[in-house]
Amino acid sequence: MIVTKDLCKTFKHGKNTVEAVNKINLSVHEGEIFGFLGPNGAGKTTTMRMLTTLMTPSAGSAAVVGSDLFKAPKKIRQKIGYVSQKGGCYEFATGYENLVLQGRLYGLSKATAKKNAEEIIRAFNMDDYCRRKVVTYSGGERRHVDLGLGIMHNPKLLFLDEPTTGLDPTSRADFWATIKNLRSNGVTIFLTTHYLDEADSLCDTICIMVHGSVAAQGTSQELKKHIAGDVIKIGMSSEYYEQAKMLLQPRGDIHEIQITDKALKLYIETGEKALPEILPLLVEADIPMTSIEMSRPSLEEVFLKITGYTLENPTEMRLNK
Amino acid sequence: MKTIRETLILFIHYEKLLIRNPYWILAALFQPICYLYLFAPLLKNVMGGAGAGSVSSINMFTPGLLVMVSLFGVMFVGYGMIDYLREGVIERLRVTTASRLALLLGLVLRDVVTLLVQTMIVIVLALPLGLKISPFGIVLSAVMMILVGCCMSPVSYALALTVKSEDALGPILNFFSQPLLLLSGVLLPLTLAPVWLKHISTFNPLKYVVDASRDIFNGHLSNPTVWHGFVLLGVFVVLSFWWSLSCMRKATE
Repeated sequence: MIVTKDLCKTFKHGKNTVEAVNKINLSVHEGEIFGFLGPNGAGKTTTMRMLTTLMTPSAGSAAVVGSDLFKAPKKIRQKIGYVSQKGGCYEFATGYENLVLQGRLYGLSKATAKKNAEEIIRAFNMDDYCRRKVVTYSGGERRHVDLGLGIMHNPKLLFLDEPTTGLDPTSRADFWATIKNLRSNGVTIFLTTHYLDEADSLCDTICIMVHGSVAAQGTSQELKKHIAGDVIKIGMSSEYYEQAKMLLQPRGDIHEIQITDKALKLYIETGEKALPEILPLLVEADIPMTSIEMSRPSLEEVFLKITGYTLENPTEMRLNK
Repeated sequence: MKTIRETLILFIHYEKLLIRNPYWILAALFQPICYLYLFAPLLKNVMGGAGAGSVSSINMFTPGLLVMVSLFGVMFVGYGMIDYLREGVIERLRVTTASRLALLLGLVLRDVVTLLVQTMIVIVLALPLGLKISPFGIVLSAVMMILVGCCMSPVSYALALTVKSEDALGPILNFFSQPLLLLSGVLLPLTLAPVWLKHISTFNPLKYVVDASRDIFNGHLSNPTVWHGFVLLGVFVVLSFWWSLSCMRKATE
């Protein structure tokens, strides 16, 4: 659906040039929900704006739904839908009018535009409010109209820029269901988000961007395994830390050993395989253990690790005290 | 063909939105009414000996007023564009397959139609004050107002798309509009002006438009001022569309 090669965007601010996007290579497959993550200013929105033909890339190449981004932006526009952070409804028109107009601008006949609008209204349960002016809508209602605008012309690929920012938990869950439904109808979805739980439960592939480059890409499971690894926490008194560390260090599958309050924290590739091997080692060395705990890392830990924050986060420290 | 279709679709949409907000039209009419009924009577005495010849003061003033109304009515349409930019409307429209020219023309057409309505109302309101104009004169001045609209509305949009903020747009528009207006002889004919002021005014394109408008109203269609005015407007219309279109193509970068 999307293939980019060394795609770049540089901005000029006076004499300074800022490399907002620096040689990124992406591949998004048909029928998946592709989550695009990264801290503010990482270049997510810029990338999305390039892929949606809003902005001309500075260098590189890209194909979107089979068409060249540089040579055939018009062809791409016909095949993609885009819902920006702001949505972009005419506030003083009704939701229904907005939908029909959007369809007409994509070249649909009046009858087809009305038919599509009504289908969307039915699918999204918009009957109650679709004939009111958009300015009167709640956040969730508005987001549904925005999404409707993006799919009026039945695009193959849909771009969503932070689709659930500012929604309450119920509206978000509602919105996720709608997005999953679209995917099962064969629409490929490319979305950016700041909510890691959203990415975790919604996206098939996750791509994390840092400082204009792709820092990691894979399924949620892969990222957790390869980047953060499982976490094994072994409780022991502090005089054994060094001894235990010496024993375990030679193992190739341990990414990192951290000393926390009354416990040794191991970041390890496959926890369930390593645990039966680690325990005898410690027992043999006569290191008394007070507790054992194994956990899968959250996507949040992966994110923090990749984006360069330390895992010894202040919230944990506070809890322990 | 595609562009015309899209322009009409957008135009009808914008007209619908406009009709829902009638206060806006009332406000747009209030200014010309004030000038016609509260300012024009003053002119009668001022112009008494100004050498206006056979032309009555209302026939002198109304054409200038029309140019002023069209200028100010249309000049501030960019504010609406900034709202649209902020709400993401322009970005959303730019991802559709609609032609960029149509995105612009739909708005310009709306502005021009509003302007035409204003023009007709001003002429009708000036008749009881003694305005004399031939039907052909009405048609020709309507065409002229359309051109003024096609000149100013794209400029306002282009400026809005460039500066992207009301705080910048207002001062810039005022900075240019005040001298343009004062040096065009809209309020008082420049025949009253000292020589140095007349010289400066020859650099003001708006002056030629006002002169042409006056000659149209007073039946002097063969005066070269008339075609000068039209040619000048034509050139500016092309320039302003060209600028505005290039802004629209990269509006949200």
